[in-house]
Amino acid sequence: MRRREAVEILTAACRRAGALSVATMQAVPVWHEVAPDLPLHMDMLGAMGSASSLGLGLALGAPGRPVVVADGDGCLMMQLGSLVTIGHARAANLTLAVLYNGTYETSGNQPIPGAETADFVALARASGFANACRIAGADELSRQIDGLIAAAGPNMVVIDIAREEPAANWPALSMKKQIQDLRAALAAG
Amino acid sequence: MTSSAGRNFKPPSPLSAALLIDALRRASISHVVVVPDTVQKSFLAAIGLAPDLTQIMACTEDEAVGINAGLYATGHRPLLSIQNNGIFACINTLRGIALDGAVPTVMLVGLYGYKPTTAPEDSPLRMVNMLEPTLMTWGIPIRCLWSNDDLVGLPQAYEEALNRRGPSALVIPIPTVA
Repeated sequence: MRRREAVEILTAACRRAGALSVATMQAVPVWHEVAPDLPLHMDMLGAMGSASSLGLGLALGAPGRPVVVADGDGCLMMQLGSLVTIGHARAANLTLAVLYNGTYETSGNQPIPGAETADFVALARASGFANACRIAGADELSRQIDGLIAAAGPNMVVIDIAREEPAANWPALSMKKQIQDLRAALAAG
Repeated sequence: MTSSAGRNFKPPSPLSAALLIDALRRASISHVVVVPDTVQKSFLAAIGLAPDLTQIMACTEDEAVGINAGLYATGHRPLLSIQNNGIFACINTLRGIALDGAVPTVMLVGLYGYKPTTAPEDSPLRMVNMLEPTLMTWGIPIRCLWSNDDLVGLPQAYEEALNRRGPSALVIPIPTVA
C-alpha cells in the first residue's frame, strides 16, 4: 500500500467519525493533499515523536470524540514510552495508526532500529492497549478502520506502507493557528 | 532566582502542598501532567487526594509537553509538574511545541539537588546552576517560589503564559511539605 492510499482511508474514516486527528512527518503533506478541508486536525512537525503524546492530550481533553493519530514508525520510537503512558491513561477514544515502512524516510530511508525485530503490535498490547493489529492491504484497512476507531481503546493499527521518496512539497502550516482554530471549533460545538 | 538571587539571597522556606493546591485552584487549573519529582513528593501525594485536579502520569517530560498541548487545544487549563533534570531532557520538545507552536506550557519545576545554603547559581551542581541560564537562553520566563508568600503570584503567572502563548517555569527550590 502506498502512503497516499492509507491516508485516503484514514481521512475518510476521520470524516465519518467526526474525529480529531493528528498527522506527523511524511504523512503531513499527503494528508493536506487528500483532505485539505478536514476539520479538527493538527500537525506535529516541530517535535518529531510527539504526535502520540499530543493525541493522548486531545483524547483526554475531548473524551466524547474519537482521536486518530497518523504516526510514523521512526517517530513513535522517539517517544516509545508514550505507549505505556497511553495504556496507563486508558484513553478509550484514541487510535494510533502507525504508518510502517521500516525507514526514516525523511532523512533518506535509513532503516529504523528494530526494523527486522521490533513488534509494535506486541508493544502496544503489552502496554495496555485494548486493541492492536497489523494491516498490509488497503482493502483490509478499509474494512476494519471504522470498527477500530469506534472500539473502546486505546487502539493501535500498524499499517504497512511502501518505501517512497520523501515529499518534495510541504504545505505552509502554523501549529499556533491550528491550535487556535481547533479551540474555536470545539468551543463552538 | 531571576538574576537577583546572588545579591538578595535569603534561604527559602518550604511550600505547603495544600497551599500550592489552593493556588492551582485559584488559577483554575484543570489537569496536572506529572513526571514525578522528589522535591514535589508531598505535593504529588496531595494532588492524588484532590478530585477536582486531574492527574496524568507521563513517562517522560517530552510526553508531558505533548499531552499539555493536546489538553490546551481542547480548551483545558493544564500545568506540568516536572524536575529540573526534566527540563534539560525535553528542551527540543519545548522548543518545537511550546515555543515554535506557541502553546502555553506552565511548568512547576522542582530544583532537585539544591542545598539552600547558597543561591542556586552558586550551587556546585550543574543540574541546579544551569537551570536558569538554560531557560533564559531559550527566552522562557522563570520565577522562583521561595516561600508560600510567592504562591499569590501563581494565577497571574499562568495568565501571563496564556496571553504570551508560550512556556514558563515556576521553580520549587526545596521539598514541599504536607
